[in-house]
Amino acid sequence: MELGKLTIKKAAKLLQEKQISAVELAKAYLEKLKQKEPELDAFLHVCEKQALAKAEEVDLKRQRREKLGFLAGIPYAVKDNILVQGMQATAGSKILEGYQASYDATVISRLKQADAVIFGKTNLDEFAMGASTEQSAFKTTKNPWDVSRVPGGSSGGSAVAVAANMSLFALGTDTGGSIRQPASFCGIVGLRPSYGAVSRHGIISLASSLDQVGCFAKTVEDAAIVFETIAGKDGFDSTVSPKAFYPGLSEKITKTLDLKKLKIGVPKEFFELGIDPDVKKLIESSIDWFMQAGAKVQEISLPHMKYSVPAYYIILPAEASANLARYDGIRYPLSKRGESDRGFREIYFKTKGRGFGPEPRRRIMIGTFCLSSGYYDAYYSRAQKVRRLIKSDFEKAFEKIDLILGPVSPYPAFRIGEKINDPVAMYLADIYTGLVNMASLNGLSLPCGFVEREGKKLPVGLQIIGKHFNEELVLATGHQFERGHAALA
Amino acid sequence: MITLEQVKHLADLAHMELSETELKKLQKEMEQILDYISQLEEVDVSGIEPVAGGHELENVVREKDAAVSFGFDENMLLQFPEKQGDYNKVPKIIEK
Repeated sequence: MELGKLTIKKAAKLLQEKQISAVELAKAYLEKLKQKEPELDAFLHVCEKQALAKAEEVDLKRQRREKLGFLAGIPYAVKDNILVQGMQATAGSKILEGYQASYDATVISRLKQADAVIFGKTNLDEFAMGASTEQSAFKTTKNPWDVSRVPGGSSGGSAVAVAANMSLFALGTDTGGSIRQPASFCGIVGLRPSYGAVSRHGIISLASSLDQVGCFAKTVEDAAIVFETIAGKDGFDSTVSPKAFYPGLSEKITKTLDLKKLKIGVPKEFFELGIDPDVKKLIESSIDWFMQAGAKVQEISLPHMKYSVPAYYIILPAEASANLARYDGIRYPLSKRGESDRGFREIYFKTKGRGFGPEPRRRIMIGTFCLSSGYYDAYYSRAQKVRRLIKSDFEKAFEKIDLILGPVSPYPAFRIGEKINDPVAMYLADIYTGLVNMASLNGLSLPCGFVEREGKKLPVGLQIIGKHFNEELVLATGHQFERGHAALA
Repeated sequence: MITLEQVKHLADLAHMELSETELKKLQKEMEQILDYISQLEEVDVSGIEPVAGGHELENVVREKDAAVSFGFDENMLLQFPEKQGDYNKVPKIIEK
């Protein structure tokens, strides 16, 4: 079994035709996982026994000709801020060490129903705050293309799990780029769905108006298969829209899309910012590919784009500071008590003071500042108004075009330690991704080529941004590019 | 731009006990971050409606049915920092 060439689609076929068993598939991936993990540090928890038991169950069900889901027997990994009953959920933080989830997130219940095989929980920046996994309280995940570099973040562990063939797909969360940027750095496909497409029930909240669960996969079609399984309305999360309905999506996106009818917008602001010249070349050549395929490409403008990151870094910390208030030493296992027993206030202060790492601290402080009396209008309210302007920019652009093309990240994977001491430099990693979350849209990151750094090949991702709930067109376009562009390379 | 006193006050509001060194480090970092986000001052936002929430919400209703509740989960109790019998124990919040 050549794992590098396997996709969900292919593995599912092999399983259905009984050419391989689910146990064999699980064992092959677990072996790869154990071989790669010491070098890459992608996982925080591996549940080998549980995985093999589930794989056996799938094989048994198949023998008995019981009904099986499409993802039956397919191994996957889950970012450690998504709850799986009975399993740890640290969110990469010491403050949740020892905590075990008492219920399944909706996305997990749906994957269980589809008989997918969970392998474990993956590393992330603490509470998904970061772009490199260096902010994890436990370890730094390494990029499989060059282990001296970061895999991106915050869902870096999930990206590496797929890129290094430690599982066939993985779940992540994307609040400002946390799926797309690591997908770009690791050379795989990453989908951040529209806000309101996937239930957030059972997700450890970072910023509730920006968070969305999405997936990593080898191909666009695989990402569509996972997305259609996890998306859709949920009684536990009323922000999931009734419009989030994607029946037969993964099949629809493979039907030939007429690229000649496609109107693509490229924001001029995307190339006015400090973008690496090699990355710029790859994005431009990808855009050329679409033009040669007959698509109409036009320049558009998102005039408020430069304010997206600063507005994001007000809205996010404000919402995060409220969401993180619950980790107070009363409800979760970590509880620091003082000697003087000054009651609950002392427990709050000691637990939060010790339990939160540097990045959550910074964001809690900034969020508290932006929401505090006298500063609310100047910061939080102003940022929400700027968010409206960014949304309007996109709405105007989408009157003339079907989707937007651009980079995912201004640079390829950076070196471990390169940006860790400069919070603002790390924030700027979100420059092409955060605005999609600010406008509640969906974005797909897919490989478009490589750059060379110090003798090593590093992958670069192309971003396709779509209208609210129009994942279908984004994925169909991505699928065409993946097939056509790869044939050229 | 932000004084150490302000930083101490914010840490107090956020219920975080931090050392003097940690507070000073935060002061420096916050100054850098606030300086960066303050560029929003140059945007004209007069008459603009703020965005609240992820998208324009529609009313969502669900079928009236008996949903599965969380019920009693031993695991929930086991990992609570303090317990007494089958109860979770929390510190007293009203002083005598």
